[in-house]
Amino acid sequence: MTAKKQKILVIIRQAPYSSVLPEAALDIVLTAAAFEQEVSLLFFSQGVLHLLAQESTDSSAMKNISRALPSLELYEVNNILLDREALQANALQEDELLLPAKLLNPVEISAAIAAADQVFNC
Amino acid sequence: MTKTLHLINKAPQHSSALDECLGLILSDPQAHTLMLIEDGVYAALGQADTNQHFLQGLQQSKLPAYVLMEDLEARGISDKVSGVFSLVDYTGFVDLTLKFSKVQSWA
Amino acid sequence: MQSFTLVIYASPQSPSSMTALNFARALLASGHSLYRLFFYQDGVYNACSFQVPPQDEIDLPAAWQALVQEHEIDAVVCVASALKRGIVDTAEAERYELAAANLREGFVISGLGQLIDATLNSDRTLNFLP
Repeated sequence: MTAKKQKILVIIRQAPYSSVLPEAALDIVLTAAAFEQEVSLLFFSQGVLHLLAQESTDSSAMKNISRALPSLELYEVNNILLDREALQANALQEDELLLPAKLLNPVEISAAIAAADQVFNC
Repeated sequence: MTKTLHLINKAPQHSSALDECLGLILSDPQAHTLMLIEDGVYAALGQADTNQHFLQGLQQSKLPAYVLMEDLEARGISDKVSGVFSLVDYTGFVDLTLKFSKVQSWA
Repeated sequence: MQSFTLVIYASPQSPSSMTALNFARALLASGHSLYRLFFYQDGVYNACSFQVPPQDEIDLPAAWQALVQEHEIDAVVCVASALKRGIVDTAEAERYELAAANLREGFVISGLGQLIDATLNSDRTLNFLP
């Protein structure tokens, strides 16, 4: 493994239980962090819905990533970004979210994409 | 400034990917370019009612836009493509990815 | 000459696996190289040797294998995705006491770290999403 460092932006844009992609995205985040990359995680569009705590876990065979989110801090993934418009569109309040996150408008999201060396948009 | 090529592989009727992508990139046509592949090529149908809104957006923003020729031909729609798009084959697609600092996929 | 990594997320039945294969062939024909193919999620089915497609359909796993062997490409199958979907090499088959191994020759099972390594060491990484 190389000592190189890249800015990796991972975007979760699909709702919980919609597909395997949110979990795939989170695994990329955790691996990139383990390899000491500069990783950011953006919850975009329906992806913001992952930031609600589950009320129960037994209604789906699929894994929900919400429970793993608090561990992001342990991996030193501190750059958590959130689509402000999607938060409003889904009528979510900042104080009900599982994680503190930086709220971004579309221009700021566009800038975050531009600043990244690599984007995984799952 | 880094430039990003955005790949869309779903029809606009099937996925919000194109809408969400354009919502981010239309305002900055210098930094972003759009490319349609697979079912995404249906968004290039120039006369389709459902496409008028974003085709106008593309035209006004002057955001460069490409569409994959092989996927148009496989669907029998290569002569129905809006003039907003440039057609590229796979070789052109490879060349295009190298003109950008990165490629971002949307599904 | 530039180096590419292609990340394949979808099964052989998905258009995006075919797109990835066509892209791989085109970049090699243009004189570029593949640093790595990374098969992730349902993409691991492209590395399975047990498919029997009808004669009038393309055998995508066989086509990938031919490309991988001809050009000696590093073709990595994500271990977590593969085990979950029943794609195993002989070592994994023995470890989990499974009836047979079904990873195609030319492919290797490894971790997601190989994807991060690939983004660092290739000029372009493209994701072929389902």
